[in-house]
Amino acid sequence: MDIKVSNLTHIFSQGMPFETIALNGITCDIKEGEFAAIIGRTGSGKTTLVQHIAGLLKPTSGSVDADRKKIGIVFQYPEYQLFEETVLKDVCFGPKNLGFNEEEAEALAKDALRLVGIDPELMGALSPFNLSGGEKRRVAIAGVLAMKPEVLILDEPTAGLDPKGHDGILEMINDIKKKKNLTIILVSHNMDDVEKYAEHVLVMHDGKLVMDDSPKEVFKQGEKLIGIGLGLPWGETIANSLRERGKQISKEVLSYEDLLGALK
Amino acid sequence: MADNILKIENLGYDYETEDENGEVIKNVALKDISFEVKKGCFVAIVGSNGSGKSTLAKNLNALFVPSRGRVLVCDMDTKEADPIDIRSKVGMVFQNPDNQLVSSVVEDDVAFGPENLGVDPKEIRDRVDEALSKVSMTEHRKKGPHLLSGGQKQRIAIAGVLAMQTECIVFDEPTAMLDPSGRKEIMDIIEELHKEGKTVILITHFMEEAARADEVIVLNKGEILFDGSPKKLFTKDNQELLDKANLKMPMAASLAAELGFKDVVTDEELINAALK
Ligand SMILES: Nc1ncnc2c1ncn2[C@@H]1O[C@H](COP(=O)(O)OP(=O)(O)OP(=O)(O)O)[C@@H](O)[C@H]1O
Ligand SMILES: Nc1ncnc2c1ncn2[C@@H]1O[C@H](COP(=O)(O)OP(=O)(O)OP(=O)(O)O)[C@@H](O)[C@H]1O
Ligand SMILES: [Mg+2]
Ligand SMILES: [Mg+2]
Repeated sequence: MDIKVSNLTHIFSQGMPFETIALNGITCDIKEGEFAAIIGRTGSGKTTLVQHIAGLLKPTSGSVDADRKKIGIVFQYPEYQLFEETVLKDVCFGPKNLGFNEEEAEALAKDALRLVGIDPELMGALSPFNLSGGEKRRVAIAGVLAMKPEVLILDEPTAGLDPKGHDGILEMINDIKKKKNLTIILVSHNMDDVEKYAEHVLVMHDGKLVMDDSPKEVFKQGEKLIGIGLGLPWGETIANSLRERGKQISKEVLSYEDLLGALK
Repeated sequence: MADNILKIENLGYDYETEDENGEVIKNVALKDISFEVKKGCFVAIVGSNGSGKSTLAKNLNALFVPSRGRVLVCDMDTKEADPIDIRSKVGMVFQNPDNQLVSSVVEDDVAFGPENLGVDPKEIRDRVDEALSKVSMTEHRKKGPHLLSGGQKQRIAIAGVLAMQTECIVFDEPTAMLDPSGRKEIMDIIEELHKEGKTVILITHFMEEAARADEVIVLNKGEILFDGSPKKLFTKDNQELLDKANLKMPMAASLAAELGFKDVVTDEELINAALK
């Protein structure tokens, strides 16, 4: 299933003193099986855009063409997604809603919990409200994975995860994407992750889509990105500082590995 | 007065919750934690999810009091002192800004902390303006916090604590939801506060942020696994310790190790070494 966003506009509090044009005429396509990333400074409209794709908001004008039944979304603040008495019940909720029986739902939930690094035997019976910030986030991701969506939207999924957890979750997502041909839409502030995983990058600024291209092309426009509050992958940032201070680096450098190659 | 602003002695903390059958479950979140923080020091606290960082933070400003051991803030025992006296010394930026934003207008929210400390209203105005401008949120001052994006809320929460002008500020993952320029701005604010002589405790999952501190404490399962300088922590020899705590080397430190540069943990140090 491809996702087609056509001339989408969203205005919060229309006609009120604090009217905010959160999305302003967005048109873009996200292809089936693609790893897309949405970047943009805080307040640029990323969350509003993915909530439209998931069908959680009604456009002020324009439209989104997508099959909502196949879309799963992990919200920016996972606290709002957890509501059951126990971790296991919470993750079972989605599959049960889809019509799986108790036993099947539990099996799906346990698999999903293991995928995100939570041991269901150890933590399944705990209240989700008593977890640490990062643990809550893992459980929220499991809750969405358990529903086996075809399109997985993740709104800053690794914010608050420890470094190993951060890498682990992204590797896992990329893995299931490849195995099951999932479409991934990742909202992220981490340029290194975007460089490493994304095949398609959408850059938001002030409610507008200002770039829509491959990571390579997007990160070539360093000055423009920095001008709108974004950054560059780490390797490129260091390489640029070195060049500014007189060091010759002729190769194109984006990632850590690129920089290592250039400095060896 | 001693030059220690914080003194933590054998601190232990238990959460007690009830399971479905009403039975009490005790979760030992902190075990036998001891360390001291000198005035003006910049300390980073790192460790895996659930290792006890936020629990420790809440014990530093009397939001929680120890189950065992004690916490002294400017020689005041948090179990005995008036919480207001503790909070006028140690301010805290919470992990989730929604837990901190209480008013329906941004500037009232920022004023809330200093009001609680009994600061003169005229001075509060100045402090609020200054704090909002420091986090670049002046234009949003009349808005409702619930109308802001995730990163914008984070900045308001930080402004609220800046306005309290406490000697020590504990930041619990302040940059988790920020864009790259916002992260840089907040780290610049933190370093500026440190230069002004404030004591800063920074809880973070970003190793490059921890690398900029004077001292790093690694928590693991409620215990201190390491306490020392970033240069001592981020070496290849400590790989096992870092793995155990779900941590990684900062990219600058691991690249430096591969290139054979010594004593490099921050980006700035890497650049200088590479230019030599
Ligand atoms: N419920 C709401 N009512 C009014 N305005 C809102 C609401 N939610 C968001 N906004 C505004 O819409 C704009 C876009 O917000 P959005 O949450 O989409 O940003 P974002 O790019 O996800 O930011 P962040 O990186 O901080 O999460 C912002 O200016 C925000 O203040
Ligand atoms: N309200 C609570 N009731 C019971 N247990 C809790 C509560 N809050 C946290 N815990 C548990 O205490 C331990 C430490 O939690 P804490 O929030 O201090 O971790 P943290 O190091 O801040 O983690 P994170 O990096 O995910 O924010 C965890 O095992 C967590 O599940
Ligand atoms: Mg958002
Ligand atoms: Mg925490």
